[in-house]
Amino acid sequence: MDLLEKSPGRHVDDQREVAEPRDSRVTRRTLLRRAGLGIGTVLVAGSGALGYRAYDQGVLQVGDGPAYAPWSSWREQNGLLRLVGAAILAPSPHNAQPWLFEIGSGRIDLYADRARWTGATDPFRREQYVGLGAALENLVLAAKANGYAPQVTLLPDGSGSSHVARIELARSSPQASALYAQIPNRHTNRYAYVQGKRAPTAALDAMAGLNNSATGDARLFWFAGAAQRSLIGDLLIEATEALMADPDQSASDYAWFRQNWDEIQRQRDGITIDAAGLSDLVAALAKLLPAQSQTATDNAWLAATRNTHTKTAAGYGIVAVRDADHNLQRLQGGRLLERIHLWASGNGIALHHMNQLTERADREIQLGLAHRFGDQLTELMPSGWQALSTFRIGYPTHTPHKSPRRSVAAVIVT
Amino acid sequence: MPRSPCVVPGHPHPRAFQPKVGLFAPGAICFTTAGPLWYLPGAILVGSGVAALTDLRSETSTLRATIDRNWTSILTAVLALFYVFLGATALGLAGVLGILGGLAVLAVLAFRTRLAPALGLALLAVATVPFALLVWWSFAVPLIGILLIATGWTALRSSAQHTGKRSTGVVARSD
Ligand SMILES: Cc1cc2nc3c(=O)[nH]c(=O)nc-3n(C[C@H](O)[C@H](O)[C@H](O)COP(=O)(O)O)c2cc1C
Repeated sequence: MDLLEKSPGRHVDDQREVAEPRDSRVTRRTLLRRAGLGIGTVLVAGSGALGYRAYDQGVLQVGDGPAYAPWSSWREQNGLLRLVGAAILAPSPHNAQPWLFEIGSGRIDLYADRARWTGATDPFRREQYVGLGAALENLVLAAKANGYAPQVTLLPDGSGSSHVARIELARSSPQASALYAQIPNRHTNRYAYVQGKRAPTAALDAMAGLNNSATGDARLFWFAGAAQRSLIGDLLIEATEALMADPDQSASDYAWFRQNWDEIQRQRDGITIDAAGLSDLVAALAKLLPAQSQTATDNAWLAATRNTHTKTAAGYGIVAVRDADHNLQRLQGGRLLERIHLWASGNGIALHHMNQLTERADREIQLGLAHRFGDQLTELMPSGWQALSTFRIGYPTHTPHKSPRRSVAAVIVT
Repeated sequence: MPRSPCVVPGHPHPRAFQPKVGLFAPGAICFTTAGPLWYLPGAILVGSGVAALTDLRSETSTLRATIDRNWTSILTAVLALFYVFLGATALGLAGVLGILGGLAVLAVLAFRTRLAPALGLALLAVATVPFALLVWWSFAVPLIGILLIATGWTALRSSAQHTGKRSTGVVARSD
């Protein structure tokens, strides 16, 4: 412990130090002492810089600040704004939050914000529409719970229009549901799941039964047997490698990765270090160190896919529709996906969206490449069904952190 | 009449600096977010502090000697302030422990001449460890905590040494 000063019992020498400053022995001791103090000072200054960096990067403020306020403030909103507050807590590809809402008298219109797009990762905007469907499902659940009878018209201005849905809201008696209660608790869980713990068949069946008239033809298919898990796990790893090898896909992925606390609080979107499923220590170090490069981020993602995500998946679910290119079916599939996620969240099951396969399949079509992943997906699905969105489930080892959200005010158009 | 046991020739009494710091510190606070109403008293306090420091120029060597002798305490105080700062940014219980821990270290430093080093060390540990343990994963807090205990312990021992030295000096000078 006596790092910085001389040991006790030396005060006689010290007095000599004052009286005879030119004594060479004393000078050496003085030098040593000064060196010790110097090192101590440098260490203190260094730890001060580290402490400041910890503050600047929000290391001790995980899930705090305006970017995370919508998770708690949505219930404080009045009237129809509360329904929008629930809608914006939905998942979306890369947390791009591609939605805008217009509030009229007794209705809400949902629009796609086409600028909030993940580019080469989602070349045909499949995921964008699935995310919009998820937001719509939250809005409908919130409407029922808050005393409205929602009447939804999908794509009222045609399939290619950015007008995604009109929701007419007549007054009715409140119908709170178990799914509605999970809206603020649902988070994408990218941590490892409990190894070897399988979801009971009853839970898989319950999730498969969450489709209703609003979700149209969309269906959930499970791939939970050992051989199926292994097959899909290997495909996901290969698809991740292919994504990394595609400069445009890799860059559009990286563009939504947020490593700076100020940026997160300002932009309130994207995938954060806290939401990446890293251990608390690794996440803190990642924040303290300089921002990771695109290549380093890609490598970390591949390693997590290989060693954590696929290794500990208790099963994979694929939401499928008859025609995955059809925006209306994408919206319906998105609604089913959100119902599944909310149900899982209320039943202690973790869920992680993993869409590398469909992202690569769409990219193959866009670039005119051989349909390597597209064909694999076709083989996996029962005939007549097209994969829309894939996820893994399992039992959580960690509680996932919240991801940022733009405010309700920021997504309202007039 | 025996001289004060606190005064060692060549070293100014640490309290010689207290009035200056006492003028500067509140003066500086007046210029923070306290509000423009406080700028005038702030200017008066800082001005008086500067005037008082000018007096001290004649005592530069003694000032240096005092700083030199108390350097580990100064470092510990700086680290304790980091603790308070990080505590203020942390959430919930961790934040409370950080702020209280940092303030407790400052209190230990203020009373260091009256504390047995072992007791001082125990108090340092009690003040520092809970916050560091609660946010162990943050890397920065446990590191600052370890440094706090190391420099704090060195400051306590150094202070005990000087206190011992001074009493020896009194005996030597009083006969
Ligand atoms: C259509 C869709 C596709 C997604 N694809 C992925 C994916 O491939 N990998 C991933 O880690 N997360 C994926 N996500 C999850 C989003 O990144 C996540 O919803 C977003 O970051 C917000 O976080 P939250 O779900 O915890 O609120 C997807 C979400 C949606 C709706």
